[in-house]
Amino acid sequence: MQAGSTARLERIRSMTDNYFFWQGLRLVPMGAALMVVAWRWSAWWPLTGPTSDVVTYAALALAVWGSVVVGRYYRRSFGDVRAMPGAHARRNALKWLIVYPLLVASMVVDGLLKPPLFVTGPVWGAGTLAYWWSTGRGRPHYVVASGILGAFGLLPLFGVFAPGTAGLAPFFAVLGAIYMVGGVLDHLELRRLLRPVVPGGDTSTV
Amino acid sequence: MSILTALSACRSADFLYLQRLTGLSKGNLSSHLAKLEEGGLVRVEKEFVGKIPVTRLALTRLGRAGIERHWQRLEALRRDALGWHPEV
Repeated sequence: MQAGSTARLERIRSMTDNYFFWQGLRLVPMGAALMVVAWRWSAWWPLTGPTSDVVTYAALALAVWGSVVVGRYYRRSFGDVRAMPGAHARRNALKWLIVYPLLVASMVVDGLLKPPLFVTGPVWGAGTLAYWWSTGRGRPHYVVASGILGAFGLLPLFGVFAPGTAGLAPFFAVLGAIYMVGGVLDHLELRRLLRPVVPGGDTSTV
Repeated sequence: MSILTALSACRSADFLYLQRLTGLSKGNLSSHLAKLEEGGLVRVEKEFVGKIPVTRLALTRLGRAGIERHWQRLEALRRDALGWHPEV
């Protein structure tokens, strides 16, 4: 077997094992919602009072609904895969017990202690790297995204924003953009492996 | 190999997923799957999602053991190749 075809088989295995996470367009509405949250935390948010909350929660609800609709599109257009029961129990446990608490804790540290570095940046960067590593690797844009989020932590040192919560709005705007761009690139990678069905014609071998 | 590799990484996959993965026509993929089923490597399940019939494929125990053996052999070959040095 040639090295190229072995690499393709390994990608197929990774993608099938992590099919949900490779359905990149699911991330696009979530990215848009994160950008709305960032906008809300910025000085340019035009709304005040309860309307402000309603619009923010509506954006989040719309993002969840959009993600579900995109999931249906993937099932209809690319097919359905049922995961092996318990295959990712360890990943899920690490996610809920370590990664998510660390993500929240980093924001709390920035909010309460106002350290000279924006701690949320490198912690979420490491979280992005863990996400990439645990969902089949292969998509190098997440390594770049992790670097961008990590570098965000240095910005208070250069006076781009003050230490503390001032960094949260621009950070969530960048995170939203990463979700959107990363999602589109995931989708393109999925399309490279799951080629369009050619009626009556065979484009490959088994 | 694509079909067996994909099925080894999940509990089951539907026909459309395998068709997109292999780029084969419906008839050709059905023929491949029939041979794999005859060989006892793949199990074919029919079900309805609403009113739409869906064909799902899963590896049998024999198929899963076979593909695992294949990947282990491939891994051993790769390790050997990495450790090989030409004699001068």
